[in-house]
Amino acid sequence: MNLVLQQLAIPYIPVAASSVWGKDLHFEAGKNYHIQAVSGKGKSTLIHTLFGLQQKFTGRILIGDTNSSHFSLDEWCDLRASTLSIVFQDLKLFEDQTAYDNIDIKRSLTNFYPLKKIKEFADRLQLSHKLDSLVSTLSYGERQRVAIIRSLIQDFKFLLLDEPFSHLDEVNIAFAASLILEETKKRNATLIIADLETDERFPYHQKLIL
Amino acid sequence: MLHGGKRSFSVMTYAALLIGFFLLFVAVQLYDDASSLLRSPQQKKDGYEYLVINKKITNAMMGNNAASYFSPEEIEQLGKQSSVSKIAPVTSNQFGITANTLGQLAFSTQLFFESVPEEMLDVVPEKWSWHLGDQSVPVVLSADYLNLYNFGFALSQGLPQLSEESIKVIPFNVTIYDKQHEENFVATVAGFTQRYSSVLVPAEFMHYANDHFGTEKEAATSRIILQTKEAGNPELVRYLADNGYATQNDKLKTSKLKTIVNVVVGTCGIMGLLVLTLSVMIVMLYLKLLIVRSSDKLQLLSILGYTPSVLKKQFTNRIIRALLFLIFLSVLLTAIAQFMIATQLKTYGIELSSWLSLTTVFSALLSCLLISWLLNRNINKVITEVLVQRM
Repeated sequence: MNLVLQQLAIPYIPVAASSVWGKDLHFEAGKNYHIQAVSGKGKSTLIHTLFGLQQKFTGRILIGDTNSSHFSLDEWCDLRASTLSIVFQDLKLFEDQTAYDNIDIKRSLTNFYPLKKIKEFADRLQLSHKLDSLVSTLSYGERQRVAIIRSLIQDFKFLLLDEPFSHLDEVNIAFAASLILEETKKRNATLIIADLETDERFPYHQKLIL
Repeated sequence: MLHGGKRSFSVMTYAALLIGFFLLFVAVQLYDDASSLLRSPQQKKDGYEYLVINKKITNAMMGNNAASYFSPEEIEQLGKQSSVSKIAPVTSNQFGITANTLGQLAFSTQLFFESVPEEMLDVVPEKWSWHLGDQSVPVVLSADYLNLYNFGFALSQGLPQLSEESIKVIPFNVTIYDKQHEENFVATVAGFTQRYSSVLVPAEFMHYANDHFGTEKEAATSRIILQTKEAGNPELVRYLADNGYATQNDKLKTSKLKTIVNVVVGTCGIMGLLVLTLSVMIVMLYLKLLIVRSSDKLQLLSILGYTPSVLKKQFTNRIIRALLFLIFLSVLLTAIAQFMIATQLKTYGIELSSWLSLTTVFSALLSCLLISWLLNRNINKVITEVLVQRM
């Protein structure tokens, strides 16, 4: 499935100096993309717009050849359940639920993976001992790992990551990156990471500056 | 998760709903009970009541037989009353009749005949007809007359009591006469009627006899039959009273009773509806509160991919199940109440069905549907509002 941007632009962000805003971009299946964005360039707005949470833009977004502005709420829900997966910068977890339940809320929506997969992924990210803790008791780094697992427990064609490793140490980043790479390869999905600084954590097909 | 884990609904609200439903169903059931109790056995059969109307004989009318006749206009007016579905004159004989039997039970008497249209009879014997030349005439006798004989006359006179069957096999001679000539027939009792206090013969016989032996040119009508579904209709009662018509009184008494019952039952029903409406409103407000309180969670769930209809079910399922259970419970309570009332009445010799009437069951079903629909619509609206805010 393709994700195509046609001169996508949002108010207040000039398009001249950007390789994303106002440009025609084609994100291909199975490839990894890095978008570097310093503060104030609309990084989170871009992610929110691609995810359908923000409607104030000009230009077009085509998800699988369909203009995303034409999607109804129900269609967006279906997309988010099985096509578009995301890790938000602010994570958006349920603080009054356990890590396990937070992940299962997503998993049980489509049952793409069985319950034991949650434990498996948690082991990979060294989070097993915290699965039954309430998210409100977890450190930010631990919460980020919960959000990452949640994004990988569903089927997707596109994985959007907004500063996903900001509170992880290098060891944990390595574990997380390796898991993410595996799961995207499995699905032949497109990986799009937006971050403050460039990196070499994944084999990038293209690096863009927002 | 969305309900916060605590018991989300106060017992008071459930109790209020239960009371509301119970009052409503009891009102409906009581109305049916009262209607069935006030209905005469006759009406129970085909839903119609038959009133025999005649003009009240006042002192002023005595000596003037013509004053007790109904004119065609009067009959027409009476037939026009809204509660009257059919009207027919009772034809009486214009000739003299003597009846007698011979043998062991010899008697002889002057007699009278009347005839009514066959469709107004409650009992139509086989071969209820008469043709020119027939020697025999079937007769339908009022059951009351048999009782009069058996319990009034026979016992005091030392005569044998007679069963319906035995009378049917005793023929009696009937002589029809006027000043000029007479004719003989053999009559047999072919049936007994609960509806008319009379001796009835087939219409064809009456016409023949009136034509050939009548003392007056036109057969006059002094009694009329009304077919109505509402014997106690207040309008009808007033009309009859205003025009000086009389009929069996107890049939009209039910009119007053019915009005009283309606008022009592109606009040009960309205109270029930009030309680119910208020309770349902509280339920809906509370649900709205729950939903709005959870709006952050709902929005997040929507972002994760949960559709509005799935989210709606989180709220409606529990509440609708609770409501259906309450309705079922109140129907059960109403049924128990009905059973108890019916059993108690039986000891007084009054017949009442121990089961709930169809109307009650039907109104219960209707309540289920109505409330489910209302809640669904309401919750849908609120959830969409909450979610659209996000977009």
